[in-house]
Amino acid sequence: MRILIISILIMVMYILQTALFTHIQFMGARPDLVLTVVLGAGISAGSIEGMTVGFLGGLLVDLFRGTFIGLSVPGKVLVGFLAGILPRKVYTDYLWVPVATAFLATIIDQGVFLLLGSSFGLQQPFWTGLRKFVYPSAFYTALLSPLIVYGVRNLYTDFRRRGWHKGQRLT
Amino acid sequence: MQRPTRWVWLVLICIVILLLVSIFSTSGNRYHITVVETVLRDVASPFQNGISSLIYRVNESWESLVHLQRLRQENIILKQKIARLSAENALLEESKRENQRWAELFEFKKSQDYQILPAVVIGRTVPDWFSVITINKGKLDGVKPGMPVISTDGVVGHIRQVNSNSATVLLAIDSRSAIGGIIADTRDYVLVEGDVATNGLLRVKPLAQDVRFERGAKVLTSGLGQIYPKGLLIGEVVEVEQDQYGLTITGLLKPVADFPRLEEVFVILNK
Repeated sequence: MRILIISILIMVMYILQTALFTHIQFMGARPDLVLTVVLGAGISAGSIEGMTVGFLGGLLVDLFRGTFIGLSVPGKVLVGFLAGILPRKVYTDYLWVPVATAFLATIIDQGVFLLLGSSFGLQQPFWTGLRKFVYPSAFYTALLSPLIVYGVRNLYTDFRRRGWHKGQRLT
Repeated sequence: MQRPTRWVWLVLICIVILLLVSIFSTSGNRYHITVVETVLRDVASPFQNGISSLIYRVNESWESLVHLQRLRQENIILKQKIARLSAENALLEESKRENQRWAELFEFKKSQDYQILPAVVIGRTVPDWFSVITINKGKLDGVKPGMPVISTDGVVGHIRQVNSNSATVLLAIDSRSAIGGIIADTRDYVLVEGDVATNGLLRVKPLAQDVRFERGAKVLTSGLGQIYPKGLLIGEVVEVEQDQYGLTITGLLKPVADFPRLEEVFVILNK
């Protein structure tokens, strides 16, 4: 049930980022809302949950896109894992931490995507792409992430209350 | 934390292998999609359509409010121009005759020869590595993979994958796009490719060594590829680059379609 709800949430985020935020751009970029869900899952429920949601999120995004299916998975799994080992106290006590975390998470995710993609014939110039797409997208994602991560954390609190998630955070 | 058991490692290795196979097998041009992809997109497209429609209506209302005052002033000025326009009408008739001669020269097909299906853009890919849009017409509307897509200005791209009520369009500016083109003046054949490094411009490469083109040259579709009919306007050459030996030239083309602001496109159902 938990996985179904998270899958629906990921789909909703993907629809919003492709249909709504395509009209509300920041420096020509759109936020990666699916990544913020992965970040939220990792912070709330630990690395294993973060990696699971990262796997789901990456796969769903690629299935919608229809090409290089699976290429988005490693980056998001890595972000989910790293989010899970971030100390929760640090994340909640300092306001700049959630924003900086989301910024770095976007760069890690897209960096892994580009590096792996080049091995499979994805011809995108790395540094031009970073400057043109990744940095603006990272800023935008960072601005919106505290709200979404907060929402995902509340969702996982509800999951634990209902007994749908018994896993504990690693830290 | 418990160490993963042998079975967990085996499952993880299988997942990694499946992912690698999936990435490799879907890295090329795909026109047919799996049932899972079809179901996901068929579920999502009504919501994308709804959100896009709402946004367009909000934008239109806002623009109407903002521009209302300006439109009132423009209306006064336009009425004054009406008298002058009557005299200019004679010149316009001559331009129309000249345009007809150019149309015959470029061998443009008349629009009524094409069966055109209008469609609205309901989604764009994120991240922007792939220049792909989603439109609100699909299989049920007669759309098929490989059909060309145009705007009122010119070439936009072609249909990649089709679901029941939506379809994805590979834009001409995508790095996987390659369009057979022809220079309008010289009738030389060129290849027009998308390139993410050129800031929304297309790259023009000659198909023969003696091909020459200049800034301002218009490039049309040649009709030699399987996708685009002949004579559709792709764009205008804005820069010409020569290699270090001066033997070959490439160019940058400003596409006529306004890709970042595409809202409505047309699918050519019959070529």
